Amino acid sequence: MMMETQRIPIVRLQGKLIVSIQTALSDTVVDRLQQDVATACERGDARGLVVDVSGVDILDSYITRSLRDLAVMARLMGVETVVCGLRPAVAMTLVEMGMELPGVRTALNLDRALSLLDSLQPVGSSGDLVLGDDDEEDGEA
Amino acid sequence: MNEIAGEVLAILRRYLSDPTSRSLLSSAARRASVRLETVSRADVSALVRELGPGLNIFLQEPEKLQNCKSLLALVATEHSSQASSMSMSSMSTSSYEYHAPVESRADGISVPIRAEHDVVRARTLGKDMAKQLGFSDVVQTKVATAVSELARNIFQYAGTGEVRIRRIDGKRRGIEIVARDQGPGISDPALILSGAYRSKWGMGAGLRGTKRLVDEFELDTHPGLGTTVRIRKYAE
Amino acid sequence: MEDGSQAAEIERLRARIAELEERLEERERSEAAARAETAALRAIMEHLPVGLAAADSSGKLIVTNREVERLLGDASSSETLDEMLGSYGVFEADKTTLVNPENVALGRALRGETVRGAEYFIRSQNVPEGGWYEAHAAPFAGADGDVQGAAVLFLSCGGRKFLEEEATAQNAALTAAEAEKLEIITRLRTAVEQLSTPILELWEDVLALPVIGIVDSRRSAEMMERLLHEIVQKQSRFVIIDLTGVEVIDTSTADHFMKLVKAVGLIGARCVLTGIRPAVAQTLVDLDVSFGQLETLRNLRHGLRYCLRWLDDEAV
Repeated sequence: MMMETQRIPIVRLQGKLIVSIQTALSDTVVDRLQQDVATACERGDARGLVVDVSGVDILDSYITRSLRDLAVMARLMGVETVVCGLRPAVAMTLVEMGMELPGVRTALNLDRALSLLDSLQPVGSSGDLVLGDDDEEDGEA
Repeated sequence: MNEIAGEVLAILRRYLSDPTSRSLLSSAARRASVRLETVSRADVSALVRELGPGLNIFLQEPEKLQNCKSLLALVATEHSSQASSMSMSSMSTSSYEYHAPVESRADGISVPIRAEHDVVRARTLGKDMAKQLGFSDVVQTKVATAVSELARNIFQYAGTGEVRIRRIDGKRRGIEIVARDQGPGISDPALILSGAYRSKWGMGAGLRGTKRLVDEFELDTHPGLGTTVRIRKYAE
Repeated sequence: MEDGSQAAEIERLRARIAELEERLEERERSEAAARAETAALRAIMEHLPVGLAAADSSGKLIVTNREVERLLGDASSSETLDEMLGSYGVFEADKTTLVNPENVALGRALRGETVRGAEYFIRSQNVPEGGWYEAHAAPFAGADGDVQGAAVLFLSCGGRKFLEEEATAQNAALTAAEAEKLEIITRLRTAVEQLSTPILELWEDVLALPVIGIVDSRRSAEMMERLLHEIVQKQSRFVIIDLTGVEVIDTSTADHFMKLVKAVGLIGARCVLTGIRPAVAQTLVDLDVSFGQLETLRNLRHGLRYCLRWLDDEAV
């Protein structure tokens, strides 16, 4: 019995935040993660967020929505998010269910995610946010 | 990479995903100035030392971290066969911690849903059973996801209930999951399932999504009398 | 005087003799006829290639013909039905179970049953390899209805039996051959499907999937799985899906493609669609498919150029 909610660590690398999910995602863990990410973004010095889901073998509707909310929230705070490492079996299941991650960028692996963030965030920018450019409801991933 | 490096990787992969394990291993190798094609047992301690910081970050549970480090230490000595048998037993004790016992019956395995952790348990069980039945990776994932949706609905909307998973034998082999609760019931199931009332997330979306993943879907619900969802997935 | 009465007596006696002589002749004639009939019947019995036998109500054989004797062995030494059955083998259709003596055709007929077409396999000293026979038997009853005896006729039906067995064996062989062929066809079909949508590595980071012909739901599921694994394996950033070989597309196939595109996007790669034919374009438009960030180009060449340019820009 886990007495304390397990926390997913947030690592800083090259000025960016990296969240690597390696354990089974329960609701509390995800909620906790959202809080921790919000706190980390609040510091104002993060030049992007990578959520590595290569260790996730099952994503249901709730967790998917939570991840999306997490990405949107980070963005609202000026931190671009990239989700990387989604497994083929999980991607196929999401698509079959009709679920998507609208407005969330994706990359094949951690390296690419970091390069993508670099290309999105020109050095020295304050990370001004423009809402609504590709965040449509009947969306795209 | 050579056999010894392979052993190290195998141990990392028990706790971390494959891409993460590989990246940790290759950066540790770089820092320790060790080549993965020619790792010797003497090199392993240097490798483990360099793996330390990464492991501390990614494995937050003290017990898992300790187990992993012990296994890695064993690789450094000659006792690699012991390492693999030890890792098997350590996996089984740390995997499932139960509040309520899972009942194994002739008609399947029943998982009571009382706490959030049971949702995870139910879906892991679903995935394992699907794997045992020989379903492919993708289908295992679909089954597990469907179980997760149903179990979560029970937990979030009814509070308690049960998920029963059993195999179907006979002409068509498959798996059947029955999710039952005594919650408030759904007042207009047809509407929810049709997708006309389009909440993008939530119970309706979960049910609609589940329906698309499985071969048979039955919803039995009455306000005040609870809900039963029965789904089946057949092997092809 | 006495002459008159003597003459009348002699006349009477002569008439009587004549009458008796006539009756005698008649009787001789019918006996000859009867003998002739019996001889004829006997000849028939002996010369027809069927086995004939008759028994009285106690089971004692009263008539047997040459064929029956040949078929069932020397019957002259066995005088009852039971004894006859003891000296040879009458088997059921499986050729191994001995028929219960009571249930042989003649036995059944003696109990009053008329038997038509009972099949037996019979082995005896004269027919050691055995043969198939059809038996027909009937009781004959007296005026009061009691069974007084029964007769049986054996017909060889080896020819028919042989043909039946041949037919069954051939059927079994055909069924097995068909099952084998079906398996081969299934394997070939899978191979063809995989070959007809090969995944090619056009360049570093660029995969191409030329789609040819009709894509059904099973094929598209298989294709999606294969493609996604290949992308992860090769870590390719782009997949060019070339639809030049697809003349027409129905709504469910279009749906599958859209799922494919979305799945590719989710794992972190990008799709580029090329070679969309007019009919296909029309269907996609009708379905109100939103292309969003999906790039569409004229053909594979243009597709590749687009990807390479993008990769180049990235590298800068």
